[in-house]
Amino acid sequence: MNAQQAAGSAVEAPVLKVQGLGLEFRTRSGIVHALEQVDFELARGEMLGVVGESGSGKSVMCFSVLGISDAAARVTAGSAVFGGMDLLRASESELARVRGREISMIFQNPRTALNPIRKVGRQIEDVLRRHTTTLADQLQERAIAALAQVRIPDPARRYHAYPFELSGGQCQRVMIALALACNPALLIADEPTTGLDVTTQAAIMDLIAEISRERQMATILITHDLGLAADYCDRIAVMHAGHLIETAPTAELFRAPRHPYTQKLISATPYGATALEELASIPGNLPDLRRGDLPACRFSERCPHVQAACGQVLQAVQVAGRHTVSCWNPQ
Amino acid sequence: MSALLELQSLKKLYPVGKTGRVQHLLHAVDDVSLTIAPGESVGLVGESGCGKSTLARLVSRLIDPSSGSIRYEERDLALEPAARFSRSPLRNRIQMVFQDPTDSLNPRYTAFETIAESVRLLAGVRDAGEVRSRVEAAAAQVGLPHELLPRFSHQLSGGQKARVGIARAISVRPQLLILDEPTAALDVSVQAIILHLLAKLRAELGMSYLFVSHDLNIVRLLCHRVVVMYLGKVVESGPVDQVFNSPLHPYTRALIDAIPKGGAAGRPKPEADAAVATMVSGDPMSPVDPDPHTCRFFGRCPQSGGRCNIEMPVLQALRPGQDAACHFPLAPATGKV
Repeated sequence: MNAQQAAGSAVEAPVLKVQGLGLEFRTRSGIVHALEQVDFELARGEMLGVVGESGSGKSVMCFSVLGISDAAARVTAGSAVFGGMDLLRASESELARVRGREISMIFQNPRTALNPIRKVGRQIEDVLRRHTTTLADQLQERAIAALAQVRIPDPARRYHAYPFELSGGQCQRVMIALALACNPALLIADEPTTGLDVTTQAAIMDLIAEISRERQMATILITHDLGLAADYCDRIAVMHAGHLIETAPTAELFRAPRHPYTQKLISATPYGATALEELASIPGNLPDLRRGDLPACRFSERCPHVQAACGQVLQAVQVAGRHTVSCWNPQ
Repeated sequence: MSALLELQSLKKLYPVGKTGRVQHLLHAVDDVSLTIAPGESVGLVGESGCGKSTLARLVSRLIDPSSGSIRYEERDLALEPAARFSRSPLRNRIQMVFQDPTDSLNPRYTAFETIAESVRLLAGVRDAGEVRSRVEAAAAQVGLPHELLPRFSHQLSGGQKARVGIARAISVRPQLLILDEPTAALDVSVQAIILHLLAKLRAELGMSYLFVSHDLNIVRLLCHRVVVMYLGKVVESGPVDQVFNSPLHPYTRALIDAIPKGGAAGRPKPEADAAVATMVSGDPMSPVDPDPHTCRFFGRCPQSGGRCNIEMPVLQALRPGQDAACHFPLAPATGKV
C-alpha cells in the first residue's frame, strides 16, 4: 500500500508520523545528542515549517527520516511511519524504493546537489527511468514536460543545458522538477531558497506552494527564516538544540507563542519590527550537545523564566487544539 | 553638512572576451554617484550581481575604478592605484567588514593577532604594550571577552568571529565603515545582537556606514538612507522610511513586495502578492555590453512603455530627497507596502 492510498482510505491518517525520535552521532570528541524525543505528524496537503537556528537538528531530523544520515549517526529511539512502513527500521532496498518516488527532497544548494557534468534533462530522465515505467522513447518528452511545469522558459532548449549554464533560481527549479517528477506524497524542502535573491525566493516558494496545493502533497519546509515559514506554512514546528519545543498552526504560533524560546525567536526576526530597539536578542548559545549532563530542558540555561521544575524530564503538553509545547513554565 | 564621501560617475567595467576586434565589457558598476555625510548610515541594496559588492570594494579601495572620482575630504582617492592606497595614511580612515566571518579571518592567527595586525600596520603602533591595550579596547567595544583573544578562528562561534571582524575594522578608528552583508551568515538571534552592536558603535564613535545588504528589513532598521541598485545602476535612493512606504521605482516596489511578511501577517500570501512576485520572475538582462539607450529593468518591468527601450531614464529628484531613474514612476498610492 503506498502512502497516497493510505491517506485516502482514512481521512485523518497522517502521511508521516514521527514519534519519540532520538538520534546521536558518535564522534571522536564524544557522543553528540543530536535529537531527542521528537514527535510530529503531517497530513495530506499540509505544509509544515520546521524552524530553528543552525545546529538545532532540523536537517538531521529529515535526513534520518529518509535514511540518508551521516555514517556516524545512530537512531536511538522512535519511529517514523510513512504509508504503513517504519522508515527508521526499513531496509536499504525498501528505502531506495520510497526515496525519490514517494518521498522527495529538495536540497539547500542546487548547484552542488545537481550533477555538474550531466545535462539537466538527462538528470530528470534518470529519476523517471529508476522509479517509473516510462518507455524509453517518451523519457525526453516527460523530462521536458517536467521542466515546463516548474516554469523554466524554453524547456526544450534548457533540457540540453548543464547546471553551470543556468542561474541559481533556474537550478533550484530543476531541483524541484527532479523532486516532483514521480509525484511524491511527501516533499522535504531543506532551505530551498537560501542563497537566492528575495525576488527569486518569492517566485520559488510560490511555485512550491502552488504545486503542493495542486497535488495535495504533504510538504516539510526546513528554514531558519521564521518570516518565510509564516508566509507559506499551515503549521510551524520550532526546534532548539535537538528538541522540538513547540508546534502550532502558523497564525496561532505568532499570536500566542508559549515557549520562551519561540517568543524570543519571533521578536528577534526583523519582519515586524519598526525600530532596532524592538529587535530582541537571545543571550547565550546553544548548549554543547556533546555534554553528558545536558539539562532536561536544553533551553533552561538561557531561559529568563527558569524554575526548579525545569530539571525534570520534559513532556509535550497540548495547550490548545493542535498547539503543543515542551516547557514546564509556558508563558 | 558637507559630505564625508562623494562618488561621482563611478564606473567599473570588466573586459570579458572579444568577438573579432570588439572588446566586450561587463558593466559591474555603471555611472554611480552618491554621497555619505559624516555620521550617516547608508544602505546599499540589490540582488546578487547588481554590483553592490563591487561598489563596496571600489569605495574601500580594494580595486581600481575604470573612471569617475571618489572624493574623500577634498581628495580624490580614485587617482591613487589600489596597490599604493594600501600604504596611504588614509587607509585606516576607510575600513571594511567582510561578508563571511569565517573566510575573512586568517585561520592561523589568533583573534588577538588578527586585530593587532591592523593596529600595527594601519595605525602604525609599534609599542607592544600599546598594541595590547588598543586590541583590548577594540575587543571591549565589540563585546568580545578577553579570554577569547588567544583563540584561533575555528575555536570561535559565528557571532564571536563577526565581532573579531568588526573589532579589526574599528581598532584603527575609521571614519567610514563599509559593511558587506555582515550578518548574512549568522542566525537571527546572533544577527540581532550584531545589529544592536553596530548601532551602538556608530552612535559612540560617530562613524559613517555604507551598509551593503540584500536584506531590506535590516537596512530599514539600521540605515538613514537607502540606495537601490539594479545591474550596475542606481535606480532609486532616498530616506529609508520614505522609500519603504512609497517607492518610486517599480523594481524597488518588487523588492519590497518579495520580502516575507512574516509575523506581521502570519497568513499565507494573498493572491495579489503572488501576482507581484511573478511579475519579476524573469532573469535580469546580461550585464555584458548592455544597450546604453534601454532601461536596465526593461523586460522585467510591469510598467514598461514606449520610451523605456529608446531612452535610458536618468536618476533625478522626483520628490524631496527621493531620487529615481524611471520614465513611469509609481504614484504614492500604488507604492504602499
